[in-house]
Amino acid sequence: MAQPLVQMALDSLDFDQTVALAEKVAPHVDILEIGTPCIKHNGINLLKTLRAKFPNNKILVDLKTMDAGYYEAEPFYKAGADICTVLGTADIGTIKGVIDVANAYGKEAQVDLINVADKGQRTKEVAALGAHIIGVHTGLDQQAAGQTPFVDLGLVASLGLNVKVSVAGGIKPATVQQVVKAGASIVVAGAAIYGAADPAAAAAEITGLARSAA
Amino acid sequence: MAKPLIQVALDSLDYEQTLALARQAAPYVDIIEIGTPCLKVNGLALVKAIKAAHPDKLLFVDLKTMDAGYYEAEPFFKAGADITTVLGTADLGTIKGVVDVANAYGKQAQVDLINVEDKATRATEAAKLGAHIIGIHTGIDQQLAGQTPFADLAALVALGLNVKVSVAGGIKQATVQQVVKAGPDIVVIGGAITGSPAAELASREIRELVDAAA
Repeated sequence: MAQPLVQMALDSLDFDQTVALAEKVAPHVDILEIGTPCIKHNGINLLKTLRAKFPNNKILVDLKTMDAGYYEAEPFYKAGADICTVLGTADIGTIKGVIDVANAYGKEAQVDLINVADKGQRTKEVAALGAHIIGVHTGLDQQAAGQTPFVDLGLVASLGLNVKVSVAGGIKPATVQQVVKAGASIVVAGAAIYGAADPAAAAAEITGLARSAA
Repeated sequence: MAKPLIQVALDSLDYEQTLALARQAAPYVDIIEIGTPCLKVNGLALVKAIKAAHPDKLLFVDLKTMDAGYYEAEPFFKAGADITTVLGTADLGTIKGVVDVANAYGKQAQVDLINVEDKATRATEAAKLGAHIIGIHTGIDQQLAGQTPFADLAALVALGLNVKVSVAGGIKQATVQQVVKAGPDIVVIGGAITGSPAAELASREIRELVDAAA
């Protein structure tokens, strides 16, 4: 099994707080994610700041693009994003636009399956279009209603497609190894890191657990 | 027939150009929209700048929220947005979150039906949750594939729900009167104004056509 990557989701709205948290966790994770509310709040300057400060981490911008795929994602790839997300519920033309612009910049497009009705079918369609990463994602509002990403991960992994699979949705130290063993190539942690008393230690713990499960 | 409100969608990515377009269109429109790509690039600061420059206009922020409804929308209502959008393809809990926070601030939530499969069912559900506006929306990528919002608009108006109806998707001088006659409460104009070499003149033309049709 390939070494899984660990991604930290930065979900604060505050610019300085986001940078400060990134400074603590960056040495212990592979990918820094600028969460959707955070990017809408702070705009592209936050990406530029993180890109300059953390040249050794990949940066994912969780655009959750729903329309105008190429146009919306291009400035973020230009500004140094390694991965941008597009919604699985978007028009297939929008998804293709984000894949195309990712390829034009030698970067990656992730299709987020959040709230997609037929996840197996959509995954096959976007893999055929050349999507680089499939995001299995139980949203915050869905987590609040008691849902988890584990069943969906099993479904997507069982398709055996030639795409990376990223998993997000309340993952914590107690569940990270289960997720890796179920086939995740990228594990996303948010609250389990930023909600910890020592976020750096929590990030290191999750990364250690993910690596030893592979 | 009641006269619909005119909304101009600002879809440039450039901060200064967006402010300039808002100045040119403002005398002839009721609602100023900060488009999704524009918002993601420029962040909340642009919302505050537009609100300060145009305190007499309704300010529409096209968040297209897909998760964390209350959390994502709240800072925008706080900063002066009168309407923010949530995706119709989002979890109902997310839609409810945006409706709730809009109500908490005495503002309005719009549910965007872009790429929703069963638009009538979703519109009915959203109306039941208390959504203030339902948006019929043919996206940019769908327009490129030849689609228009006209049939969806007629179907939604025919439902007779107790919500306002907004329509967007390539509406221009040649089609705006046809759209007005179908009975929407809000007509959104994007490229026909912002892509015009004479944005102020184009705004005035749209205003005159809407007034003459209503």
